[in-house]
Amino acid sequence: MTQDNPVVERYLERLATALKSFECAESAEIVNDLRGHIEEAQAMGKPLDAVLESIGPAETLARAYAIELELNPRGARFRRTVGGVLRIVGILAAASVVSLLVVGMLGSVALAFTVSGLVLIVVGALEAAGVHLPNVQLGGLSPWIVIAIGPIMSAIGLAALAGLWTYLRALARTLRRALPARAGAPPAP
Amino acid sequence: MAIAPPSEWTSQLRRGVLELCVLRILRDKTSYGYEIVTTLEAWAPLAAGENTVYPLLRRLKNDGQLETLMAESPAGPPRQYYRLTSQGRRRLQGLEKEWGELARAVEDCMDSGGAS
Repeated sequence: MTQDNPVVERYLERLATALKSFECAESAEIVNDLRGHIEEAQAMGKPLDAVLESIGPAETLARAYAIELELNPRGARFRRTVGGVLRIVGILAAASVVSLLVVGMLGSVALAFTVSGLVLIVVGALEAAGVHLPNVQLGGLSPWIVIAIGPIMSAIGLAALAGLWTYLRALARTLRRALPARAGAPPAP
Repeated sequence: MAIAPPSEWTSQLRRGVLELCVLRILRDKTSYGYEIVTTLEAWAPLAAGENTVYPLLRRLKNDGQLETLMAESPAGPPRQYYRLTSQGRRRLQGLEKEWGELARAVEDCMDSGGAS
């Protein structure tokens, strides 16, 4: 390395400052690349002023790096993937406890109410038609009331089913948003 | 500067083409940053300055298309040389093919305007 020239050092310091959003190692390598370039150019007999002018302001150069590396951010992509995986794990952990309760409750309500509602309609209709099923007691209710209760119970069951469907869709949407964006796709808002 | 800034169209076009040129320069020999920049200076329409070439070299290296090696320079500090990786070589072949097809198509279109 040639003896440190204060003008070069000041330029490279400004570049390092402008690169502060980069990882330390990467920013140091970039500064080194430019140091090498300036030294080579000077060794070829170019005046330092002209060399620095050709490179342009340190801030502009740093922005050019940011734009170019943004197209394919290796380090950032890795961090985003690790962060994404942790987020998915977190969502799954939280969602699985809630899901167990919600899906269990809504699922059993949906199934039990819908099926028993249908059964009541059938049984009520048979009773009304004078067919007495063995082991079936209507508890003194008129078969017409039993037929009327059937659809109400089924409606409650179907409402629970709709609630379950909405919940699962919201869960899927949350998970999909947590997944890393596909390459080329705009980043999720 | 009195000249109008290059249009967005030209700069978009250059960006992709410059990658092809850098890979091609490194196809047959290793080279270092300063040499690559001065080589590209010979082709003024590419408008490849330090602030486009160095970021591109770093991105290609991060991508695994280039690798660096340190080597003694005849005078002064050791130089960092760039070399194509096998992935970079494959990428160059792909881009060369794409560029050839694209250039032929555009040339054909410019010649005839689609009139048979």
